[in-house]
Amino acid sequence: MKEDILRYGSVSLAVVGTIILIVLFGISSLGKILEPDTSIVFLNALTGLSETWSRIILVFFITLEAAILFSIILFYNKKWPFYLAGSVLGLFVIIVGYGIWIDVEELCGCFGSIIESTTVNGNAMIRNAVLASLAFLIPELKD
Amino acid sequence: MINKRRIAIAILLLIVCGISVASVFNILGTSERLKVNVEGDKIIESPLERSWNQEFIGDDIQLHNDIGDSVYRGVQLIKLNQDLYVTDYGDMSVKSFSKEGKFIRTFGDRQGRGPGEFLDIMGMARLPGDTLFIQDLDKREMMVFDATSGTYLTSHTIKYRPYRLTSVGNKIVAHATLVDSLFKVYDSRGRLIREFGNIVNNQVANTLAISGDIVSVGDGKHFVYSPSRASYLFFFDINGNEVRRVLTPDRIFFKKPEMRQSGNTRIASPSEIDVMVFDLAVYGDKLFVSATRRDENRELDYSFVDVYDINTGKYLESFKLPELGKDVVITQNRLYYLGYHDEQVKANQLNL
Repeated sequence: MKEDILRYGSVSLAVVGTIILIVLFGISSLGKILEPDTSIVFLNALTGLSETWSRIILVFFITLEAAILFSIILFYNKKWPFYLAGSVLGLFVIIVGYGIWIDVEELCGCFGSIIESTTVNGNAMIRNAVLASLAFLIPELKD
Repeated sequence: MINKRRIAIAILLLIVCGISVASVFNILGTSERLKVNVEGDKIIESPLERSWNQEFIGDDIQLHNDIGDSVYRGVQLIKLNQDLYVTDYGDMSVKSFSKEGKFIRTFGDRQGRGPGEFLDIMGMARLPGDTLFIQDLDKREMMVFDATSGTYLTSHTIKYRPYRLTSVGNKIVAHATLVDSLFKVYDSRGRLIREFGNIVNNQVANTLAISGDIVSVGDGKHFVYSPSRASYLFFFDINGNEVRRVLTPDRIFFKKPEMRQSGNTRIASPSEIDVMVFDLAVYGDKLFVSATRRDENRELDYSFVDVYDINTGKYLESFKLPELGKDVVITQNRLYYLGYHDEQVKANQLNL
């Protein structure tokens, strides 16, 4: 009985976590496509590269996020899409941390125009860290 | 089954990649944002939040009666050498005053198409050697006057729609509109030396996004351009190279004009924006960028000045004008500006 409850709880948490990741990466990639300007400005401020290179990097990130989204949906039973999602979210933690360290004041444009852009601060780091942990945990919960 | 899923992901990713490239690089031209063509080595980004310092502005200064009595409709105010020059649309002339407001002389004594007469004054600049250049929009002329006597000397026909002028060393830089090359460089004899300044794509069609002001940095080599409807400061040298670009706090990007039907004609109108830059001024090593902000009802709210380091483009601080105004002149301890509503010259103590 207890095991059944635990099992049920784990699977439910895995499902909820999966849905959260799907929504997150969906909104993030779609938002950047719909409103890329804020992200371009942020990348330009973060990297010091030209606007052209900032655009190229942005296209890469949009495609990466979309790849994670589709992988989670189509390869739900596998572990690697979640490990990939967790790794990318961990990368975002590092990027935000670097932005805080060099004192970037720009809005990150993380979700484009769909959700009001967040500033680069500790809350953004914590958010990404929690989501990265969840992504790594989901395959274990499903097992 | 696995191969089909991988193929599906690959196709979906290709589609996403294609769409994101089109969006990020605005290939389909669906974005209202215009692509900026020039790129300096580094873009300097001002903070998103302004640092307000109202201690800059001191008491009102009462100027000599001459300036209030002589100016009917002041539409442009600049400082050339140590004197104030006012473009007066009331009698279509340029009048010069001392910094106390005492009348010195008038340039152009009547409205008309004749020599030394004006129809629509746009911009003026003074060269070393006391030559005053004044652009006329309707006549499409750059007229030359002796700055010390006010005597009309000659004029040069121009092919563009003139907007603003500034002197850089012994050259005149003219700012034009409705052309692909925004800036025209003339020598002291009025000969065109070079032209440059392709700021945004489809510049002629999107010209309404571009008008603004230019001012010499003061080193004889560089000038600054600010469009009125986008949050940029472009630093150019006299050879046409962009040396620096500053993104100002408001982060308003160039927008396509809105097309409106007027009878049988479609007219391009500028997009509505919250902050409009109207003037640039330089004093010492500081650049003063004056603008007016609209409130949520689209009414004019207040005028303010952003201060930058002229050598680095770094944003320093801002202060508000005592009332809505346009065209700001800065001296060591004074701020002059034109009142927006009464179009008269006003002055305040300035604590730099």
